[in-house]
Amino acid sequence: MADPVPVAMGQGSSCWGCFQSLVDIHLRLAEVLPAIEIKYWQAVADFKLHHLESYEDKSIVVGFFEGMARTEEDIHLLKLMREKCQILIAFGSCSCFGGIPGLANFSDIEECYDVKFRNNKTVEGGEVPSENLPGIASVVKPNSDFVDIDIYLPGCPPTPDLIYTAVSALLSGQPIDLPPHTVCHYCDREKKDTPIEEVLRPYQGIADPDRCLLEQGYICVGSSTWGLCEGQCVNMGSTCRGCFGPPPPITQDHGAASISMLGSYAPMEPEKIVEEVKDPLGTFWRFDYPTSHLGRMRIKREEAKEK
Amino acid sequence: MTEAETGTDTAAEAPRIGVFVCMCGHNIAGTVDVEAVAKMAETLPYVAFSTTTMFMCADSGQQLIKDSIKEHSLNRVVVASCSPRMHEPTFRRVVEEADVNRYLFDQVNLREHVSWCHMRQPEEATEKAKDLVRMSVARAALLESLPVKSVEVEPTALIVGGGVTGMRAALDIGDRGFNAILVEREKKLGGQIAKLASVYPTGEQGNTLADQLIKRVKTHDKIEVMTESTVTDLDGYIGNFDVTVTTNDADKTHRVGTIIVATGIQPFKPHGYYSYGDHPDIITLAELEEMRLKGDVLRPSNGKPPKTIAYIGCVASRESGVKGHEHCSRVCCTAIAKSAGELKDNADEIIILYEDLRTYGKGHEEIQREARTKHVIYSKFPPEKKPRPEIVDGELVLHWHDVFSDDNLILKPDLLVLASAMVPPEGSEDVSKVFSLTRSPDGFFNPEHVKLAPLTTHTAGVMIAGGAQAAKGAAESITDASGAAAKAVGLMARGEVEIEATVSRVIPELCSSCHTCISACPYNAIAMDESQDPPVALVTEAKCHGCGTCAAACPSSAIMMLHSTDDQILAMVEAYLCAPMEPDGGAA
Repeated sequence: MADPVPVAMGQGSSCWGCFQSLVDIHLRLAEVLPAIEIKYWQAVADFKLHHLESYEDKSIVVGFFEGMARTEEDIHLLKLMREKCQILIAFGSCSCFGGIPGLANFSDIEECYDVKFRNNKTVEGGEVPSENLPGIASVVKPNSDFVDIDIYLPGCPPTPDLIYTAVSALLSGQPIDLPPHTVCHYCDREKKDTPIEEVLRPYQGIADPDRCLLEQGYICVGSSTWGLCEGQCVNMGSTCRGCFGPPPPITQDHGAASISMLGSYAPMEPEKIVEEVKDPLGTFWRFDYPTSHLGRMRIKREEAKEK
Repeated sequence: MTEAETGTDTAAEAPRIGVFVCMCGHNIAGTVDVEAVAKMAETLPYVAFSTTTMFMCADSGQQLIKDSIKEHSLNRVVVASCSPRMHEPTFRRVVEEADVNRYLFDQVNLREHVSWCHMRQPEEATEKAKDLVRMSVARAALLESLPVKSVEVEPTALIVGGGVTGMRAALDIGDRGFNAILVEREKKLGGQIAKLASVYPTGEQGNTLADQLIKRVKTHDKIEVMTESTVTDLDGYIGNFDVTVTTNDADKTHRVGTIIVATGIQPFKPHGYYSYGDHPDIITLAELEEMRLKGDVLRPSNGKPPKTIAYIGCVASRESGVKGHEHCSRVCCTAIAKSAGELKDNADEIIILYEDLRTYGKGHEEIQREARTKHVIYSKFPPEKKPRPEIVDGELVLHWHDVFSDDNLILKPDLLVLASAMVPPEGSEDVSKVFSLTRSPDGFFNPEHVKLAPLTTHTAGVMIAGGAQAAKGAAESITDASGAAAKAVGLMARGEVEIEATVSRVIPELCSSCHTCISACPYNAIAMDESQDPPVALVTEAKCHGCGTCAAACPSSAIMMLHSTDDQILAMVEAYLCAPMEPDGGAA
């Protein structure tokens, strides 16, 4: 057996779901673990940051970075991972596009403090803590604004199957060959090419289990979302919320593509569609607002404020 | 489908762009500083040559383009002149004659879009002209040569509607040796004209006129007549349509190369206007004509000849703000005059109440004059105060205000005739769907362009003629019919038609079968290719109009618009937003 490959797992601001999904490759871990040498993974072993800092540059072959980088500590870790790793993988949608934490960019930092600390429903006389904490950036920027990313593995989280496919390929030195299709490709539901007359919320009506959810009026962004999930949600009766982001080239504006798609599927009066589609930003850019055109403008506005 | 590559494939070569700025005499040069535009163009990337001339479309201008292509080895051409709708075909031909593919040409509209609309702002107009040329040059550098394709044309025309228009078209086509299939939904051919007692200006009976045409159509060896039939489905594209004709619930499919829609007009039943339906002696002009055709004009209430007759014009026509009734029906003013003049021989008094008079056709003024000579009385009422019929003890009393005497007048007519609007016939909605025709707010079908592309429609190979396009009289409809027939014959005589290469193309590997494009396409040009597993979207190029809707709607960028690729469009946006670099650094 070849020597184990040195790997490192770094975590920015995130929920740990992606690494959970990595652990969820389950019995296949028996195959993967002997092939890797974990050089850094704070969440599962007692590594300290200085361990990572002490390694030679590029001495780690593969680095997985989960989450986005909003605190000074996150940003430091992200840059450090880039220095130490030959291949840096943006692991999960937060790491690729900003993800759910990127939704914070709908509000400015002071509004975020109000909700989180000052007017938090569970405390009285809340204050913004300032001691022994890393500084926080005024806006969520995509990780790719700080460092060059070699491989994007999106998903909220990436599925165990996808992780296993990608990791196996990496360990054997093969390119990761992922199909470019969107979720619709994997969806078993029937399309009848009928336009939408009314937009429905998930709690309204009872959906036909065999027909396209979008054609029934439920907003499903499967057609604009990379189908690396292999259509898990849509085939189980839930609409696609777009957690894998846009299909390759993933620099596309996922939300804009979804809106263009809906515009042609729902030939409704503009006022009606505005009324019926609640929370368009959160609906169409739920996982990738910071990398979208609109989100970019938001970031630039914050940057202008700082100058 | 045959493919013929014209022009050299220059995609691989470095672009060498020629910019030709047209003065259009004084039209462009009177406002835009064309010399400054041409000078600016010289500084742009890949521009190898830039010049101006008086008229680029003239023979000398065309020769200048061809000579410059040779002299400067140009492989891209930008002409900044008028609207592409005007001269794009001209310049495409010119570059092709100099061995440059027609799709390596781009036109900038400095006339309609700049000089004509900014006449009083020459400086700003010149800046806009520069922007547009800069954008076009940026796009030109990325243009790709595309093959010119053609399809064969089936030598058979389908004509929808067996009225005077449809029959005229069928005869014109048949007489030129091509097949015509004439489909009429009624039992009898003839349409509206066969219901008229007197056709202006000749005064002959409508059915006499129709019968002559019906006889010729029925005995013509090139014309197949299908009555009690409707076209229920259309598949295919220009030159190769498959039409399904349903006759008594039985479907039959015909392969045709061209189609003429001649579905005509229908008189409106004016319920809600002037007490129509409340009294038997209130009838429409169309009903009066049918009565005259069957025999004498008698009052429906008592069967006696009417001695006093009143007509009202513009009933449910020319009503501003009322959908489907805003238009002038164009036949009524003359038809009233004709009808009143003829009935005056047997009536004591005939009065015509009108809002405006528009006897505009050839010989129509004479008809109105003849009616007046016979002492038919014309009385103008104000548009805001329409005549008011009243029924008193079963008797009809008409109140109105006469504009010229400024008097309120009263008449008890034996018969009140309403000249009601001409509207699209029932079923026009279905016809528009089957043939993908767009309709104007009045409900009639739109030609491709009123002035630049009359009679043809946005569905290539489908023509409209007569009342299908607008309310109009028989003479104009017949002229339309001959025009549409000439266009159909033109296509069929050539035997094949070139189709635009500026179509959308699906990249099968990227298609995820979401069907968004199928819903988005206004021309039914996209379907799932079931021969693929899984099926992916497929564009039928001959049906594609290159509108780009599918490419914009495709959520996975699996559709590209040839000749308007994302790269080309973004290059234009960038060229507009980013000022060109100055040679010594910095932006202009």
